[in-house]
Amino acid sequence: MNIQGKRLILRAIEESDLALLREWANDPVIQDGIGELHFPSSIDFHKTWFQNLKSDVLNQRFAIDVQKVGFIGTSSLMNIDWRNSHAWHGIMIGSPAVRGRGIGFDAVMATMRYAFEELNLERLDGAMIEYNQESYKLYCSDVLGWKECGRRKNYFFRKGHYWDQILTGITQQEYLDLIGRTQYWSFEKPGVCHNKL
Amino acid sequence: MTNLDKYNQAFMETFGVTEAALPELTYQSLAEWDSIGHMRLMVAIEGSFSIMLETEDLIGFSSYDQGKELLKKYGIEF
Repeated sequence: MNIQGKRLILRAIEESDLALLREWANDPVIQDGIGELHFPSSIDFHKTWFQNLKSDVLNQRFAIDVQKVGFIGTSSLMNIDWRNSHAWHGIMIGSPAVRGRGIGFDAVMATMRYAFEELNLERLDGAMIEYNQESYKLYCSDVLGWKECGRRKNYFFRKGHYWDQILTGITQQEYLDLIGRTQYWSFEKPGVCHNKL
Repeated sequence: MTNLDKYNQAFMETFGVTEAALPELTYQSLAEWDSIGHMRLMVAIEGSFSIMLETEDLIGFSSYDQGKELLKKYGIEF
């Protein structure tokens, strides 16, 4: 079952996505903002990763597919703890054409909707490098409702310096309060206009 | 409230600017109209006019003036 956002779907990653994933994994600008360590990677490396993904029930990675634009990045639920009902979440927007225009926001909302309303997870956690202020502002704003939970000093080494890791999270109740307040899912059909003039 | 009033209010409340400053506004022309500000503005406009913008319009919405043109396809005239 695909996961529906307002302007996108989260679908399974297909083998045909691997070329773009490899391109983004080797892009220094994109990787600077991501906590994981990435060595230069080959298409064979990504094929192996893709094969392993199929049987990994604890790590779910979704392709973000935007109408009329296509595959633009990934949204993930990782280290899913089915007993305690929580998981880690991360997002990667690879396509430069859509960065900074709210598509990532919709992808996070869709991921939260699936995690909380379908999987019944109790909380999601995330982490970011302290200099990734764009990511921090996105998650820890009133529009997404995540909260900073703590910092690990000197956790990442990048560009010759150590940087803190910022830990963030949101509970299911906080998500429900958010969508109750913002009515985010009220309009889900593009172009519908109730404003007849 | 006219459509222009609603449109202007969405910008003024999102970015904290005066009406006089609106015609000059373009994406990233002020610190508040960054990626988060863009998202807030789109949510404000969608809420004000009870519409949902197409993805291409969300991505292509790049200035105060151009936004008015873009909204015409949703039946919103100024």
